[in-house]
Amino acid sequence: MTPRSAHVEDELAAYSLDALDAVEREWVEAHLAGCSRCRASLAEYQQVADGLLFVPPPQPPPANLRERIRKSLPSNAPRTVEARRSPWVAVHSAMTGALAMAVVVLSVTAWQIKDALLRQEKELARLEAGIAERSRVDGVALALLSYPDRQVAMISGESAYGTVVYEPRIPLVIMNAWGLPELAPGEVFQAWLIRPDGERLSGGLFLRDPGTPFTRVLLEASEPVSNFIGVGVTIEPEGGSLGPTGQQVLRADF
Amino acid sequence: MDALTRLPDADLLLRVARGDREAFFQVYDRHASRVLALCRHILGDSMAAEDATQEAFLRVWTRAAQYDPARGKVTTWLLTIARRVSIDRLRSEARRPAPDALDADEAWAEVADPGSVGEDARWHSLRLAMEDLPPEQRRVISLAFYFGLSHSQIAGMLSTPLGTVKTRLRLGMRKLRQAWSESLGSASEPRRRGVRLPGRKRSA
Repeated sequence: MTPRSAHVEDELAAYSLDALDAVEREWVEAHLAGCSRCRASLAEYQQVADGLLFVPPPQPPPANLRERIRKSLPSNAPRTVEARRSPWVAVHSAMTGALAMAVVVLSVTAWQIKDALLRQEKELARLEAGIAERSRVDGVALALLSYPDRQVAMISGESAYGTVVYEPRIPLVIMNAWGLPELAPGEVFQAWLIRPDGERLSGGLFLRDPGTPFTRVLLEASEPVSNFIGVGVTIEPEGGSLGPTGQQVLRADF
Repeated sequence: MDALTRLPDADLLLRVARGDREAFFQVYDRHASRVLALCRHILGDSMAAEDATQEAFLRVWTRAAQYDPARGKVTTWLLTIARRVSIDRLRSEARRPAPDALDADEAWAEVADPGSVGEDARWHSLRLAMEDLPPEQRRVISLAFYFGLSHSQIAGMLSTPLGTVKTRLRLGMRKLRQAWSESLGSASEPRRRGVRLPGRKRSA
């Protein structure tokens, strides 16, 4: 724990100033999520960074600046973020008989339309999230490749093969896998980071990427990759397992 | 109007979110001098700083409802917006800060205001601590915070190895953190400091 904390501690000052590059930022954020000591230390740096906002001595603004702002202020009130209550509730309780029936029919239709729209929205959100995730993984992969000490290892299994890219000091591994087998319903791939004593730590769950001929996955470790001797992928039940239980489909040694 | 002058910032902002212009200008009157100072510090030019201040306050007008008191003071929120607006302007104009200008003595050597108390005194101590840093440490902190550069960009800009930039930033921030926590104890009676002599060199 100590050397790892000390290492992230070194990056906290830069993190509070927003001076880290993307890969380092991800790494620090991953560490912060599980380390209260570093979060406390970051809070202190954050106070310094906030204090730096106040360091330039105040300067009285020229009188015409107030007037300029007054003229440029949009005349309508700013948009607020108050949630609106559904109008259906009030309308429905105010009606009786056939009219109420008609409203029920209408509102059921409206509900069905709303439901269909909602489902489409969810599907869109899912696709968008997929695209966002893919571009995030691609971004990290590119950033990782730019490091002079990056390493590439071949990864292979019975039918699947590919590469893993990593930088020993960074707790991230990019895996590019071709030929992953079809999964049965209720199954997922689970990646494992392997310690020198054989212990396996989960590196995350993933599915085959239907959009590309290969699957690129970002494995997030809780500590630098240099603490591990290799990586493996097994097939596990949905939700993943605490340790590998299923068939191994890929394996690489660092 | 009189009632407004007594309202805390956070309450004013609630009113701004509902479109209250009087409350908005109360916020402006209280804090425009800080916003302008920060924009001026980042952009280096009075005209550009006034434009940025205007843009920052227009954002306050349209986004007041997004202010979350749980995440910090109104002034911090306001100055964070001003910093973002100014850095975006630097970037869009592809302007780069002149590294020599960053540690020019006149930029940091303003004389203490020994009468300031409370928070003002803490910011003032931070300012003195910044002034006391070796120029090369102050420069990397400035480039990161006030100019929005990542440390690899700073390394490229100063033609300095990345490791050196990281070390300077870390050492400088450690000293500022130390000064900041010390200022908590002495905020009510700020130390009086000598004026720094122009051109005095410090070692790393």
